This record gives sequence, structure tokens and C-alpha cells, in this order.
Amino acid sequence: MRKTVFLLASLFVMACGIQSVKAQIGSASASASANATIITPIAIAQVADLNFGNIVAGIGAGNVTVGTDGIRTSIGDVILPTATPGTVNAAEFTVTGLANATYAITLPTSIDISTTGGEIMTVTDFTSNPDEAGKLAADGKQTLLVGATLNVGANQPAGAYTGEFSVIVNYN
Amino acid sequence: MRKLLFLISLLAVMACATQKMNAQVSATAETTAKIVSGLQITKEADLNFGSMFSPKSGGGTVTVDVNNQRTATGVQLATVSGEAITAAQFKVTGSPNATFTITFPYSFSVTNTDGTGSSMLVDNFTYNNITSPSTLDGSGNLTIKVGATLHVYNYQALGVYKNTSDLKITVAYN
Repeated sequence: MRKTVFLLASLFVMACGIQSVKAQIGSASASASANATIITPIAIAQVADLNFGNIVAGIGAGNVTVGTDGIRTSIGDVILPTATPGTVNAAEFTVTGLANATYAITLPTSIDISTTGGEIMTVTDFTSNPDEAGKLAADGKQTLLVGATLNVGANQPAGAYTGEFSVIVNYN
Repeated sequence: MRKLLFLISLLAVMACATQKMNAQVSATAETTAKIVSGLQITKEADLNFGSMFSPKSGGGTVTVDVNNQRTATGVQLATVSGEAITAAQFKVTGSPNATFTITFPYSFSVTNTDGTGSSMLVDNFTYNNITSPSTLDGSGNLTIKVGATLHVYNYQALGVYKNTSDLKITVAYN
């Protein structure tokens, strides 16, 4: 008799268990995450100008190139005076924006630099480091260096030649 | 002859037995069917508002509709390569043509993952013509898409914002 009572009790417990399982089967939930990213506009600020230094023009034409490492080389009929090189350096910019963001760099294809008297030289073959695509560091900054090639004409008149060029950066 | 009679009676007993078994099977079949076609919901896509610039002259809103299209008022959107704009998407499965109720999310906040506690409100949920109660199709499926509006405040702190688990859809048989 004791045995029977125990059996009935256990059956009752089983029935309750099944009942609660059925209740769960009737409904279900799922969650999605919602994501958004607030970013800061990308900005570029000039730190240093591009300086080709002192150049002695020859009878023929020549080129002077300043690399992104600030080292200058020449081709053709130009002389780079070693004793009085003047200031030679690549242009330097600081790009700021969203941490770890990649961005595209657009360099000019050609600009003119001139003296106050109207004499002109052309600057071409702009190069940059980083190259076409930059990536901001974890602090949202990156240094961008720009070099170029100065086209010195035959018997290029002496003088101080200056000009401006723009570098455009855009988030990818 | 006696042998044949015995065989017939044996068959009769077997038939009875089979009959009885059938009766038992069909009696429990209803319960079994419910378990097999239990209502389920799975997440297929998260709600992604993408990237936007921090407003500097008053806040605004960014809305993603159920077609994954993004619009904004007062906020300049940014297009970042490799970043998909998506409405949330859920798939409900269960018994074909079954009617069920849907509990939709209320407004909730996404908070800056940098831990500073900066947050934005998400509300104005939109759905792909789905109301509650709803009905599963002939294959026992239904896709629920959820669009929403994000409120971006003036000088909103930079960073990645995420919710916890508040974008929740609950479905239940009627």
C-alpha cells in the first residue's frame, strides 16, 4: 500500500513537469543588437612646407625631386650646392579624425610656383607617405608627408619661387 | 480445419491488438505535433545605423527603414566602406498558417562602448506590414523586419554605440 502511494505521487510530479514544458513551447523570444557609430569629420592641418632648397640652374633643363623622406635628388642640368643647400624638406601634414579609420589621399597633379616678378616653374609628380590610402592611429591621428618634383627650365631665372598646393583627405 | 480456425482467431487477436495500438498512437499524436511545430524565432540581422558625424549645431535623427535605407535630419551621415546599413530581421517558424501574437520592443538606449555612459535613444519602430496577431505562411514561416529611429544629440560623444538586449521580439501562439 505504501508502494502504491509513492507511485501515485511520482506520477503526479511527472505530470506537472510536462505541463510546464508545454507552456514554454508556446512562446519564444529573440534579440537583435542595435549599433551606431558617431564619428568626427576628418581634418588635415599643415605642419611644414615643401622646400626644394637652393638650386643652381644650368644651361639645360633639369629636375629636382624631394622625397617624402626629405632627401633631394636631381636629374639633368641642375646643381644642388652642398655647402649652402638651404632648407630642404618634404611637406608635412597632420590628419585627424576617427580612430583607426582609413582614408583616401588626393594629391595635386601639377602646380606652378612663381617669383614676384612672374617667373614660373612647375611642380609635378607629387608623392605621399602614406601612399593613396592612409589609416589613422588609435589616437585618431596620422602624419602625412608629401614630396614632389620641381621642373627647372633651361637658364631658369634666379629668384625665390613660391606656390601653394592642396592635399585632400576623405574617409573611405 | 482446427488449425485454420486457430489461425483466424490469432489474426483477430492481432487485429485487435493493432487496433488498440492505433488508438493509443492517435490519442498522443496531438501532443507530439505541438512539440514538433513549437513556435520559434531567430535573429537574422542586427539593426545597424552605420556611421554619422557628431552634430555641432543641434541634434537630429537617423532612421533606418525596413528596406535598409537610411535617412537623416539634422545629422550628417558618413559612408564608411564595408559598413552595411541594415534593419533588424527575425524569422518566425512554427505550424503552417498558425496565428500568433507578437510583442514588439519599446524604446531603448544604445550606449557608448567606451564606458563613459553616453547614450542615444532608439524608438519609432517600423515593421514590414506586420501587426499583432499575425499568421505564419503555408510553410510555417514569417519574416519580421524592424526599422527604427536613432536620436543623436548635439556634440554626441564619439564612439561605437550598442544596446544590451532590448531589441527583443517575443512571439506566442494564440
